[in-house]
Amino acid sequence: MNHHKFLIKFSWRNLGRHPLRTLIMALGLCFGTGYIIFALNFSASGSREIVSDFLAQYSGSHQIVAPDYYPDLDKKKFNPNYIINDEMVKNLDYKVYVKRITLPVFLSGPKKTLGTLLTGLEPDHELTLSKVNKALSQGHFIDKNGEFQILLGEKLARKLGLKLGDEVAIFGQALDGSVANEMFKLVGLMNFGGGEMEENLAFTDLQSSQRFAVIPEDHFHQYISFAQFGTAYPIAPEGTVLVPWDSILPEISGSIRFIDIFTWIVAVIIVVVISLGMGNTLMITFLERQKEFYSLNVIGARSSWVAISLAIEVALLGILGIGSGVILGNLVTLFFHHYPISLKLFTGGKAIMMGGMAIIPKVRLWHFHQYSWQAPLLVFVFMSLSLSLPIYRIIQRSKRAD
Amino acid sequence: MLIEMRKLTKTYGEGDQLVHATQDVNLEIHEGDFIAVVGPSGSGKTTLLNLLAGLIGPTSGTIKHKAKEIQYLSMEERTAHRLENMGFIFQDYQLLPVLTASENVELPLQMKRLSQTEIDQKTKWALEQVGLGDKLNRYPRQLSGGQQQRVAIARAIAGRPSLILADEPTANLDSKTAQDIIDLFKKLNTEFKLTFVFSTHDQRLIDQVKRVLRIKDGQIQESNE
Repeated sequence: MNHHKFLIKFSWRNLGRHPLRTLIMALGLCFGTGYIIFALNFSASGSREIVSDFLAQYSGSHQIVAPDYYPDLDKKKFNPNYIINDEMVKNLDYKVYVKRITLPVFLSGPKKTLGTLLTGLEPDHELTLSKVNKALSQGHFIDKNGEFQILLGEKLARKLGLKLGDEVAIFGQALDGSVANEMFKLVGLMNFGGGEMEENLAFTDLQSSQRFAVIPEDHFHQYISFAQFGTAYPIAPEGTVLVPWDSILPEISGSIRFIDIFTWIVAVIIVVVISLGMGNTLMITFLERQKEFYSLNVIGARSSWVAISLAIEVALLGILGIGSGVILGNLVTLFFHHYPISLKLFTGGKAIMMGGMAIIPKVRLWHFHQYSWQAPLLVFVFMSLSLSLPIYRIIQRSKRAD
Repeated sequence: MLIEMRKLTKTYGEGDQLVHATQDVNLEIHEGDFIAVVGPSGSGKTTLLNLLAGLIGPTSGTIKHKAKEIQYLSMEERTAHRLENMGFIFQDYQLLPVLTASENVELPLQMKRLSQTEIDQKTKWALEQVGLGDKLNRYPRQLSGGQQQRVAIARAIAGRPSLILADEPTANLDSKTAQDIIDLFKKLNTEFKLTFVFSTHDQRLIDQVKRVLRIKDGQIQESNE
């Protein structure tokens, strides 16, 4: 055991031979590792905050629907003939769920008739969970007891030639196969920042939509969760299926995966650059000690002894630099947890459009534990790889007698 | 017999460039010998020491150390053999600057993986023999040239090797310090029967040695002076 201590002492003191050089290498490792941890936390937190903000607006984190409601993988297609009821979802906490009905309908205004989706929702309960009313630009939100009131996106209303207070004729297919038609009163206009929701969505209350489509009072299409983002999904009740947000909005989850992968690619590039720089500097340091390695060999040091002493030297430098980098990365993350970064900084003050909705999130950095070992491991592996060949060559050269 | 060389030849280069650093050398070294290897620069002194140390292998011939034919050993085996059986003293001391005097002496003992108690005893003994028992914790930069060479000698003798090789050990020292080192060698040779083989140009050292190997163009002429 004492010879291990001796080797560590020897290697540690060797680091002090060129204090400035060692400091620069340690700082390189520290800032590199710290930046990677910060960047990965920022990317993951940013994705999480953007998605969480976006889902909290309207979409929810998951839906409970009838098994055939979404007939295939493409969740943009749905079959409104498949409904679920209160009895089926009674074991799920109503406090975090909203009921919705979604019907494909035609809206007829003075200018033209257009196809769109009419969403029936519970006005009071919906507003305790989602933020759909934030988009209201004119008029008022649907009254709890108001019958056949409708909200339209500004663009849709303009295309139809409708203004507040106008009546709009809506027709579609009822659940019993009959033709559904009803006059709705336009009570509010919504501005989604010019997104596609502004052209494709119309809102009314749940009861009006049920009466319009001849759907029983305790039945609906979707039971949508607004539980905190990241909460584990429940088991879908019997006779229903759970559809997570990322399968409903695959383009958004795909973008986030791309951002994550891109961040990792940048991290690897940074690590490679640091490793090459370090490998080069250490190679010079080791070459300066070539004669010393030869002398060690002469007095009886095996190649493995020299190699281990160099490896310990590199490991100690790594522990020093990478260890302080982990602390630095996490401290910066902690700082931006308490002082979130506004994404306005990166968008020139403009909102970000996602899934047809405009969002302006602040990114609160969260600490993702896995990055505190993945980033240092990545740096250490590349550092070791970049040094293995120089160490091998130096040891081979140290065996040569002059 | 400690060392036996038979028809030992070491050549460098090929064809017209072929150089015989040693040629058909026959040599016997016994325990307790005190041998100087002398000769002009490039005569093959260092090659002979390197062959004895197993740092290079011969082109032909045999070299036995305690009946072990070291020319057949791999480089790693020769290094291990050196660690167990030899001490080496360099002209420019070759102490590790980051280690103190006692740690420099400890170094080969640590490589042997001896117990710390044994290492401490041997280190103390070696430093006392060279008269540096009071400078254990000094770094090489805090020692004079003569003191550094004494630390190097302590490092070489600490493991009580059967053979100590020294490559021009007094070349970098002033005459008084060089004489002190020569006296130290003689004392260690006489008191502990340590076997010394050293290359030198130093006539004072040569004058005090009974067995001198004069090497010229790779050939050895032995004289007892």
